[in-house]
Amino acid sequence: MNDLESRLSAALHTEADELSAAVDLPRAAVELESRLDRLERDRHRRTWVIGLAAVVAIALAVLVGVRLAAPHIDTEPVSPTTSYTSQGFVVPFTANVPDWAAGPTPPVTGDRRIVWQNDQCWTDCSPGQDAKLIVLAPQVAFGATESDRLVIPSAQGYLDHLTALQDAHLLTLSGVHPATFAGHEATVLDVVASSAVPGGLGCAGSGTVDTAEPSCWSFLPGTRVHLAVIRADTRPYYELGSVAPPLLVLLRADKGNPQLATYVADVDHLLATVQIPEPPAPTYRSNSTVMPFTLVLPPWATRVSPATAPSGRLVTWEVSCESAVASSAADCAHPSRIFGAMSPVGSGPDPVGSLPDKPGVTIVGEFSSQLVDRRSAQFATVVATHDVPAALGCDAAGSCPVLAAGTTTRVADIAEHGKPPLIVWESWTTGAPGTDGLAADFDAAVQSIRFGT
Amino acid sequence: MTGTSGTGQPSLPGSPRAAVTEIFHHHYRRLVGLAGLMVDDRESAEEVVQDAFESLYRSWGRLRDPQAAVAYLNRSVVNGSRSRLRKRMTERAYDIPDAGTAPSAESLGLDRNERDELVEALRALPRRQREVMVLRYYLDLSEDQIAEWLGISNGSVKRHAFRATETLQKRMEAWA
Repeated sequence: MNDLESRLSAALHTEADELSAAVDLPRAAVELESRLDRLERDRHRRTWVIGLAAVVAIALAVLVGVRLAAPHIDTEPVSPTTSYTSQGFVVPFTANVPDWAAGPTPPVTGDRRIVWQNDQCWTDCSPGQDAKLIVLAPQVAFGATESDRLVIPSAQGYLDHLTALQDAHLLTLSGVHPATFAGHEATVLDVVASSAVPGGLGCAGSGTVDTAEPSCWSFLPGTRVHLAVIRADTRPYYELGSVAPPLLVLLRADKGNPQLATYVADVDHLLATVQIPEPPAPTYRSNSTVMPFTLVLPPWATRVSPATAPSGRLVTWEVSCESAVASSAADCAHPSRIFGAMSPVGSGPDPVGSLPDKPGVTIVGEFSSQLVDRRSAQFATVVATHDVPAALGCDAAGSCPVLAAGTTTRVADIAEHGKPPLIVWESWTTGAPGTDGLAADFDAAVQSIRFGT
Repeated sequence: MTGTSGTGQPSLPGSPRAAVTEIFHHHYRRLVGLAGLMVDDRESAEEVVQDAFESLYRSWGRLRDPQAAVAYLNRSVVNGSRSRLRKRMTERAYDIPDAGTAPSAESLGLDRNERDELVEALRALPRRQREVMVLRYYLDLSEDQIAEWLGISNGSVKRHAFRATETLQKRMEAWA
């Protein structure tokens, strides 16, 4: 210990002794007693509440058990099925397809639609016999008129479109209920049309309405549509930088088809067997020689093109209302979001360490973690109540990311002795819906970083 | 009343409440001293320490021996002080200094001895540097322990300690 260290140690001990000496111990003891009394009262109250809750839970379980034990009768039989694996479809999937649709004529396939139907209907379909089983990833759908064209932004956007058609007295929706297929949220419903809505079901292409099926699909009077609107992405739309159309699985059949109830049950069975594999994680490789690294991007950033600064030291992925496809002003309510990586110039401002001292910044969490390559990363979660310019340092050309007021930022300072640091961060609107999992995704992205070319 | 267990370790009264009260009388003052080095006033320091004892009482069932309880309290006080200071630094960002009532440099220099100067210099350090210095030179923790307590890397501990020492050195040279 050098001279300064010895003096500091002595000064701290003396200061602490003085603070201790000024304590009124009896008064402090009374306060502690009062705190412990309160804790014991709370504990007794909690015990009562838990006991009561347990009694209620047991009673409910008994009731539910009685109901589950009751015999369950399927109203309609399910047809024999054949396993099907999509080829070249935009959302790869496997499912058990009912044999009345699966063969022997193969389905019409494309990257955004697959169509099966009654075998006899491929050539000559008797009135009332038409039944088509369709899997569609529509890009657009049409409303009451051809000029009413909607670029489908999301599953919810598509459901809103159907509701608007019902409000216009063109459709009647019934049996609307939520479901989950292959881990993906979905809404199941039945639709009957009072008038034809060309292109109302959705079109595989993105151009104008094309009444020639199988490009565009329409609601037709005299038919019933049994439809599942599946959110093909597990994350909500506002986490994405481009449109995320839903996956539609549907039966469109003549209302008078005598097999209609069986067909509906077959579609429900198909839905229960759908499997959608997770897409492989896209890896970003920096093309800069200043900070060569690769990382697996957070899911939302995979749909956004990176912007690389001329210095080669700063790369960002950003979603703002302007860059997302918004079908209406209401869609602009989604939060902006930015993910970035920067190798700041100079010895570095010790970004994570110095953040607590910046005005307008509150640190709500800090920890360090060992990465691969024996590098360590210092993580912090920061809430900014004011704009904090150059909070994370600057690149060689003077580009300095700002922590914007009203945002939460997760930042990681990745350091290795003798090498320039790499600062990785992600900012989002504080408290915005759908942002709960972002910090975990960010941490996974940082953990995936590999340095070198 | 504290007794001695078969292993030579002091044993504690049977009920959690009696045990916590016993520890309270032995360690409360010292812990207020520790908290006082990290936060700026005794009142806040006492609140932090009271919170730590409350937390100890809630967690009593998970502790194995009196030593664990004291270690738990030390750490709890450090964490509580850090939270308190963090919150205060945010509040301070909105404070507007009152030039009319602020003491002049001359008045600050009067009657100040070296210890006061050192302690004041320490309190003026950035939060993280101050935490590192208190843990190092008051609690005598090693770099490894400080890194673990603060949840930062050893490299960061070294960096903060180096910068803090540099700042304190300069200030003491200027004072001298």
